[in-house]
Amino acid sequence: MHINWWTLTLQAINVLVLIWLLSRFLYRPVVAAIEARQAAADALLASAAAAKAQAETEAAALKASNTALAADAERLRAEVRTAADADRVRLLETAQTDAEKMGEAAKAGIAAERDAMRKALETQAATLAGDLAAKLVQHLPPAVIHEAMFQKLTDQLAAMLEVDRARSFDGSALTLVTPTPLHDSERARCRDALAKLLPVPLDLAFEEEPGLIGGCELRGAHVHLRNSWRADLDDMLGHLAKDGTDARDA
Amino acid sequence: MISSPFDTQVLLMVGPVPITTPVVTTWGIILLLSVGSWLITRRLALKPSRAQAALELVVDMFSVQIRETMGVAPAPYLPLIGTFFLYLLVANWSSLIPGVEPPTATLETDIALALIVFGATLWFGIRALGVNGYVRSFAQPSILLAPLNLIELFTRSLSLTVRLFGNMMSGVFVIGIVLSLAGLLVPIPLMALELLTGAVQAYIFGALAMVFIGGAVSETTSIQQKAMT
Repeated sequence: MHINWWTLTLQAINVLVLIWLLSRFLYRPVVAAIEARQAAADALLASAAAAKAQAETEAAALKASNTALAADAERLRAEVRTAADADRVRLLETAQTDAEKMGEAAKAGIAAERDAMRKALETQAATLAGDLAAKLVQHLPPAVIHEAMFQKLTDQLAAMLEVDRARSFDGSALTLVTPTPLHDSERARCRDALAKLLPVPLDLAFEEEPGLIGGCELRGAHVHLRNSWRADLDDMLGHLAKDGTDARDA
Repeated sequence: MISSPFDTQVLLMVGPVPITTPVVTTWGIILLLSVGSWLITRRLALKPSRAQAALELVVDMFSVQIRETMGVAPAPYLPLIGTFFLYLLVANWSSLIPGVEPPTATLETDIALALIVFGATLWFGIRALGVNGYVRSFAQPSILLAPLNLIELFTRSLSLTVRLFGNMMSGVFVIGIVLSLAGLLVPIPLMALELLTGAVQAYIFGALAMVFIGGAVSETTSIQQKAMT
């Protein structure tokens, strides 16, 4: 057996050189690549874990937000229901109040219209009564009517208390109003009759007013004695109106 | 074809240095592996190509084997063990190329490989425990076993050499004899068997290297653990 020591040495060197070369060009780069991939995978897994944790956090936040929104929505619905109920009650009350006001207004309108109609009827009745009285008076002698009505006026004057008579007649001018002009004799007789009853000198004037229909009226600064048919008609119409008002109020 | 198992054909002389066939073949293998590795690893990417994925698979397989066999981190031993396996595999399979004789079928190459394993065992053991500690490790578990441990240190290297040389040389010789007797196509089944033998021998050599170096490292570890207790 022969061993070639040069070959043995060269082969040992060759293998050692091959070890160095493969370590330089094979193992080191490949191990580095594997480690880099492992590091990238670890980083990716860490990133995925972080993303998952973030997603879970966001999901929890969204869930909480949804819960809060649902609670808000329920609260808003309750508020809207309450507001709607309040509006409904208020509208009902307003409608009821308006209806009552409209009813009151209608009643007042009806009452006012009835009063106006009544006044119009009273006016027409007074006018008609005056016309009727005037037509009836035309059938009687004016002197007779005047004499009777003036006598009644002087009776009223005589019936007044002395104190009232003194306060009403203080010497100021008086006017005797009649529906038709008086003759001079009638004026003299009227002047005499009044002068006897008054406590002061008489300052008397005469006027005509056909609206009195019949009778006479004595007018002064502090006195107004009415003894005419017009005054009687007015009294009667006033009583009728008062009776109607009392009946309506009752 | 090898005329004698112990003869090496000298191709040229460089001064007093004879350049034999296995040396030239080994240079070719070095060129092939180095250039191939450089071509594949010069463009490594995070998303690997098919070649890169295959290479990573091979390197990862080496790392797993080292970790499982030696029970240590594979990084310091990966270049040595991986190169043993790759070189032996390519060298053993180089017999498939017509006119090429595998370098491992010569005794010098196998002795050189066994000496490298021998040196690596000493280097890693001494690096881990120091010279004195490593020498004392031969007296474990008893001083009576020191001679046997010392003899084993050399004989296992010899066994590495003889095993590899015997298997590869015998395969080459058998194929050569059958080829000379039976013709061109008859040795093909034997060549296929030689492929299997070459792969098995490469794995066995690498595995035994891991076991020897791992034994030194594990002895060191056990001594350190004993010292700590």
